[in-house]
Amino acid sequence: MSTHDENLLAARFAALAPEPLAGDWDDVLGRAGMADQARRRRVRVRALAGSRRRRFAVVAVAALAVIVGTASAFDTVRALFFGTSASVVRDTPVWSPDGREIAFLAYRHPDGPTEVYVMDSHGGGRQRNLTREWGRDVLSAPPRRIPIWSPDWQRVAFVSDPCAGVQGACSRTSQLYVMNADGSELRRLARGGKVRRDNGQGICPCAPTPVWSPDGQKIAFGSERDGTVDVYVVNIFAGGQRRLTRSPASEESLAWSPDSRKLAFVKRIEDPGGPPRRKEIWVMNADGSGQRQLARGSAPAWSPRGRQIAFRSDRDGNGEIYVMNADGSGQRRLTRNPASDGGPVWNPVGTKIAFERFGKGNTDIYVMNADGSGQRNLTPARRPPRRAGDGSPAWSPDGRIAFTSTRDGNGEIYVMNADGSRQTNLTQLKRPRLSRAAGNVSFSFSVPSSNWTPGPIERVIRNGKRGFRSGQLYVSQDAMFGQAAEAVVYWGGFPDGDGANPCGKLRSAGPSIADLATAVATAPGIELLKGPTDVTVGGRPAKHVVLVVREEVGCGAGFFYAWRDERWGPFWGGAHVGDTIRVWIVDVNGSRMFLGAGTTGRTGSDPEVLERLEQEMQGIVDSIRFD
Amino acid sequence: MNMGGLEPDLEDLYRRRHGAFQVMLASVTGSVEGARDVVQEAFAQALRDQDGFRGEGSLEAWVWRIAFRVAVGSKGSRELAVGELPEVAFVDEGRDTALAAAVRQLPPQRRMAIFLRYFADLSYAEIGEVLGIAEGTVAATLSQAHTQLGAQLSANEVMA
Repeated sequence: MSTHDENLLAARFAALAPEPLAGDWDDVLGRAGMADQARRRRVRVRALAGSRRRRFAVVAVAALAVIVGTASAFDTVRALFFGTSASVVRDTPVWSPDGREIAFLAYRHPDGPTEVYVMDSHGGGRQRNLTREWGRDVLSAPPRRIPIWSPDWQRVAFVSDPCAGVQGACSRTSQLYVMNADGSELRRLARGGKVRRDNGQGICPCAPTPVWSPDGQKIAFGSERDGTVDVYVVNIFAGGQRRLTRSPASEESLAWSPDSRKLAFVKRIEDPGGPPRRKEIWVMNADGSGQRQLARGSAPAWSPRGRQIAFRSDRDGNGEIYVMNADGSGQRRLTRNPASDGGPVWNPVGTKIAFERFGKGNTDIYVMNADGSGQRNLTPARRPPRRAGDGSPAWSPDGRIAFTSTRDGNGEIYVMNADGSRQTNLTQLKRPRLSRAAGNVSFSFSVPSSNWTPGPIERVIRNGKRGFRSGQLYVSQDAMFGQAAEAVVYWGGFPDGDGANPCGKLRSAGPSIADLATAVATAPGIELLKGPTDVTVGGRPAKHVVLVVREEVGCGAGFFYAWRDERWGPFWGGAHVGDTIRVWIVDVNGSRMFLGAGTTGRTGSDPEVLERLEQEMQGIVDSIRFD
Repeated sequence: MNMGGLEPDLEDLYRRRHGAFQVMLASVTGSVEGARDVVQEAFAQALRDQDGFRGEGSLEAWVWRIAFRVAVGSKGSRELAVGELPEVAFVDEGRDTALAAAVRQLPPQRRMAIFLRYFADLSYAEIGEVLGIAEGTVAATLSQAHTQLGAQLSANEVMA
């Protein structure tokens, strides 16, 4: 295993590390019967607080580096299996005022432009590529983010991406455009913020997303003209922009009050040498007068009647959702947990708040009553969350929730009821066939549903806190590690580094697929359920065997393996007693490829579930095509 | 060793490492909550029994051994015999079933060494002290574990 692989392994371990709880040295002293020291120490700890903060900051940076490393590692895997034809949704879905349609932003190619689509919010309908319908003028100034629809969806405004299609580094000024919803009468409204992109280093947002006032008359937007981002408002009909803020801080997260008379916004304050970054929620009148700070925090969201503002604050150590009256009074904390909460959004009637919870490598959407009671995860993990993120919740006028999810491996838009039921993938973006190569054999296949993970071809069904049942498809081929002298089936622990297996019971088998199938079918400790039968896989001759592991044979942990060569030992993943294994041994132009599909049923296996898993695995094998 | 003499060192160790102790011990107890309790108790025992540290190895390795003993005891089973290791497993195997399956197949000592390396972030020398084996044996054990995991994971995953 190379250093690179060890780093990858370290990252995978890091992703599995549970979040530690807060330490409490005083508690340790108390348990040791040294409570006096605890009292004396408190004075000293206060004096040390500064240096301890620095230490924690270093820890946080190190953890971040691990996460970034893991993410890029998985990106590599995804690129490998999805190629460059991935279709990925970006940004928050947007509901039409009647709740019938959802607009979203997607790209068909990671390096290509983002495009705007509209689809039926109940699914099944055609996805219209609006960018194409809007025509050449818009294509020449492609939207940077999801366009902003006027409240009546008659008009669309968007900020252009002047760096689209530019190779390498780019720093240009975007423009704010408005047009009719059908793309006609495109006109420039104002100068937008700067867009900067380093070589391959991502894009600087540089200015907040513009927001249309609820009365449809004005758009508030941010623009960086003298070093920091300030807030401007432009009247759609009369034209003429007005600068509302003039501060050394940058403003972001603009939010109109429901009556269009006030704007809440966030001031991002960065003092060199001071605390790293501070965010404050401010409010002002629509003409810029009456600016005042309401709270420390970010992500302000007005309640539908404008009486309250929900927001995020990490004043108590990590991100939590708070609510306050519109004048800043009565601030109260609604969430309380070690994960980071953010992005609160009110339902249309103001009785519930949906929000995002970031923790343990994935993001979930939670909903709670407006008083903080009844908090519930609407998107609990259904399979191993490979950095699966469910986020950007958006309430429809009739109280459903649209959101983005990467649970399929590519970004999609889902919709669900407010209680989390009926989660439906609306976008169904095309998932290309997956492909694998083993030795000199390469082939492609498709998985039956988004429940299968694309890396290890695997599906896991959670069963209680620790138990799970899984189906997993293994692929190996003798040519992978050179020409195997012989194939064997054996039991036992893993062989030692020098290839000697101290406790496995080796049984040699001849070179043909029939020889190997017989060896598998007659291995000790298994019950043969089916086979060996003659089948074809991808049009190639194959042998199929189904067995259940019944007892441990050998001195190791009692794993059943098939296929071994002189260097490495098993290609087949180990199986526990009780597991069902389906084996296909395929002759691909003289190379012997081994396909194994296992269902693990150690904890309360449900025969129906296992049967469905096995049917789905059969479907994967049926879809195999050799290149 | 004077009574109370180790307290500053133990406190420093606790402040630097209580998170790593919790992460590692959660693999023994099955939950972070249980692990935190074990860590608190282990450091308290270390404070109470400072004479038990003879200064022959690192203070941290000594506390790790206490912690494993407490962890096994906390599960209501039995005391840990010399050289005996508790079972370790991921708290949430479902989050990376391929790795979890591969790790499950490691013999106990290799598995423990791998966890001490990646979760406890210990050096080879420290792992040797905790497990009571020579540093060279740690290197060999980890190398074998890496080889085994690499083969297992590559057989089950990326085959390009």
